[in-house]
Amino acid sequence: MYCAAQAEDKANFGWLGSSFRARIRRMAIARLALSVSAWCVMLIVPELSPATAEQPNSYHGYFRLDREIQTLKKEFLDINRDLSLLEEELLYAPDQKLLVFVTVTRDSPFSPSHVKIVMDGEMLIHHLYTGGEINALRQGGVHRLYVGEVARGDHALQVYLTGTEIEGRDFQRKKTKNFFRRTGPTYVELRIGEKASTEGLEFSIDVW
Amino acid sequence: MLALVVTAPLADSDVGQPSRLQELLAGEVLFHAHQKDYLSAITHLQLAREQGMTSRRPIDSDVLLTRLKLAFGLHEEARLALHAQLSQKAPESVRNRAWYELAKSLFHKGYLEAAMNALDSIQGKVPEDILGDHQLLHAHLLMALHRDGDAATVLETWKGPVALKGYAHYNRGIALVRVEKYQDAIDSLTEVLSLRGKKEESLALKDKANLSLGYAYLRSDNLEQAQAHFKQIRLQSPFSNRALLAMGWIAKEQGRGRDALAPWTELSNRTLADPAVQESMLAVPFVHRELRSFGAAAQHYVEAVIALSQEIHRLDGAVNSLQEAGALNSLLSEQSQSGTGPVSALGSAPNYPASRYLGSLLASRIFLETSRGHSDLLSMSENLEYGLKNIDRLTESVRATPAPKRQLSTVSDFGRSGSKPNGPAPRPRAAGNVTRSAPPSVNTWAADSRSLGGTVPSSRGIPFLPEVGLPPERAVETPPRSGGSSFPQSEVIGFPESEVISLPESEVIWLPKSEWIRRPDTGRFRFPKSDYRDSPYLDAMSRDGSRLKPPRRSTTRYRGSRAALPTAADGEATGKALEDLASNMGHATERMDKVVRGLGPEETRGRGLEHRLAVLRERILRLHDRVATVIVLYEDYARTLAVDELQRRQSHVEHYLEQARLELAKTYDLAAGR
Repeated sequence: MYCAAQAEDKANFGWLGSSFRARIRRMAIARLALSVSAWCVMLIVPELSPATAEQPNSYHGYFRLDREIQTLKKEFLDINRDLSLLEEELLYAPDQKLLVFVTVTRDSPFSPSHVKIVMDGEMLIHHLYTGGEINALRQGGVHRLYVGEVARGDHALQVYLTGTEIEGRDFQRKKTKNFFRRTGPTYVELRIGEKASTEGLEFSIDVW
Repeated sequence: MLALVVTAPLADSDVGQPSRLQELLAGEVLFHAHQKDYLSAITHLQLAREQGMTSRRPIDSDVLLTRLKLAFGLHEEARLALHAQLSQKAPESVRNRAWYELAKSLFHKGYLEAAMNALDSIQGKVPEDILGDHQLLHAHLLMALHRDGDAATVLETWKGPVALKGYAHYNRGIALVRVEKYQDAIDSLTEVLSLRGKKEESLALKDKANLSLGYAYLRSDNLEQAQAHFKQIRLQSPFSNRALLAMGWIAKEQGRGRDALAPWTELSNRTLADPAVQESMLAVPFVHRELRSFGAAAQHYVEAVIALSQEIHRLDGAVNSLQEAGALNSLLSEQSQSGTGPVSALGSAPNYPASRYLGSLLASRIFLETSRGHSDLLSMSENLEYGLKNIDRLTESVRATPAPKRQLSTVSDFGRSGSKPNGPAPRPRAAGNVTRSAPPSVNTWAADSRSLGGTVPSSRGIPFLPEVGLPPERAVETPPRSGGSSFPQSEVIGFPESEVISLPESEVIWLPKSEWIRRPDTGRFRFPKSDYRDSPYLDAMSRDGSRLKPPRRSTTRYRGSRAALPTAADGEATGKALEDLASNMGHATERMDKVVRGLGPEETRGRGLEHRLAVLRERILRLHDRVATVIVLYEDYARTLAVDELQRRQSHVEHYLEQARLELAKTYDLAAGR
């Protein structure tokens, strides 16, 4: 539900850029709309009634706690969102942002286990994938491997990829991509795909 | 399951083709959701929606967000939202899946009526992959609402994966037993035994089915068949105690009292915490007494009195042990990590005095939900503490990093005006060209603990220098002053000597502190009128962006005193130079105005960020306190549940103890021939 105190907090930030204020306004309108629709729904939808004849008395205490924890979780989500926004705003200049994503084509016979990225001769990031992450990637999930900044100009990106094939064989690949960063954020996608007929693993780096 | 929602609606989407970035951001939500990191998934989706970067139709995006919130435990919000959203044009499969998930969540939380309402909202075809689960959930709900006949009907046409087939038959059998249709119940339960499977889960299900079959046959007075099924239960199974007890009673009922001693004696040597064992402690001497073996009967009754008294004492100790935070937390955490079935709960019960009595409570839905809630709260508390650290780091970062290090769009424009349209790209610097920053999951501090590893997640902590190297004196804090005949320092700052000839090539110029903090009060670069002509300033750029290349000497001359100014002898050339100069001055003023306009809000922005961080910090602190309070409430509630269970058991044992004492006295009387 919309929290008036939060709205007040946000409304105080009049010094923010107009785009941010516009976003706040949009969010406030969206929340208001949600709030109104939620109220309408609440009038129609019966209240969550925990008490039923067959439930023991012990459940009543649980229902009270359940309501408490839901309120806390809601506030927790709001704070997490606000903190994420703030971090994003504070840490990365939008014009110089560099985002690196890793994707695996559905039903790909390859699973990455380790990715290392070197940019302009310097280590940018390396990541060791857990079983859960590999499963998520194979089910269409996209991993945001890196968020940072990159200066305008020419850059050389080297990607080292190791992993396993479905048959259990290990594979190791290295690819280089040169790109020129212009104005605006730069997106890099490391796409691990199907088995190509000649090279084995199809692994591409797209920069835009 | 979430994958289907993420991808399926795209086909009938009425929005344009999503960009690759939008698809990647949608996939990112999925990446977290598949790992059950719902907090990160929700936050990513929320941010993508707010930035207009979602690749789905608004309704699909709303439903996905609601479902993620449901998975996160916000079932009340999700319930209201789904009632609002699903009346709209959501695809049938998405709608029915969402209703099913809501019903399941509400059922587990104990909101039976609301769960039934959610299930009733399902219209049309249920998606194939959840059809079996849906029928099982429906039957569970009906049974919980004492509508056992309806439950049996629902399961009669059950269709689903083989792995769930045993559960469907078993539940139907139980529902039929409850409505006293024993033959149908027996048929259904027998189906469970015919299923293949050697895993502990399927063996435990067969043990349970055999136990239920035995009871069903007992109720239909078929003692032989009942005994045959009790015998099939594995001796190490948690259900074997009840089977042994029942086998003894069958033998006794059949007039084979001596035969009853075998299972009951076996049972009486087992752990006394089980009520079946306690009952056997009284049953064994009862048979001995019936066999007129008064000595043995009295001895067993005495043993029972001693054992039951000790058991009451142990139960007292167990109740007291629950006052220790460690014991209770161990129970809660163990349960939240273990499986949900009674077998796993019993098998994984931790080694605390209370745990041996709490097997059934640990396996109960209410305790499972309580321990999950407790676990969620602990996790929230940890995350909030981590969030506080992040906030502090960010605040330090804001304070430590001067505002001009942040990018200004106006400065960017400023720089672009002077850059060569097709000039060569700047050579990457050895260091600082690629700014190091926090690892990817910095956006969500719930996931930070594993990825950040406590490092300062600020790329701003590392000074981001402009691509054009600045001379050291540019970084000084001292405000630039106009000194004598020379130009004010501020006029030339930003363009080192070398830059007079070569323009800065970057579109983005990061200005040093001295260039934005100490700006002239007027906001415009203007010399005293009287000195205007005497102090010409050659800007590094002309209006059209091309570089002026005045000879060094002439610049030096212009910088001289009035006496050194060129005379009329210089004629037209000087006039032209001054004209250019005036023009360039005006242009320079415009440019500096842009900087000032850009920098003004930036200064405020630094303070504003600090304020926002402070507000957020306060919110986190308040929430942390509330979470700590509710953690205590959860622990108190779990303790109450456990103590109630122990006291219930204690009262049961006390009843047996009283009975054992009475029977002992009766045995003495009988032995004495009274």
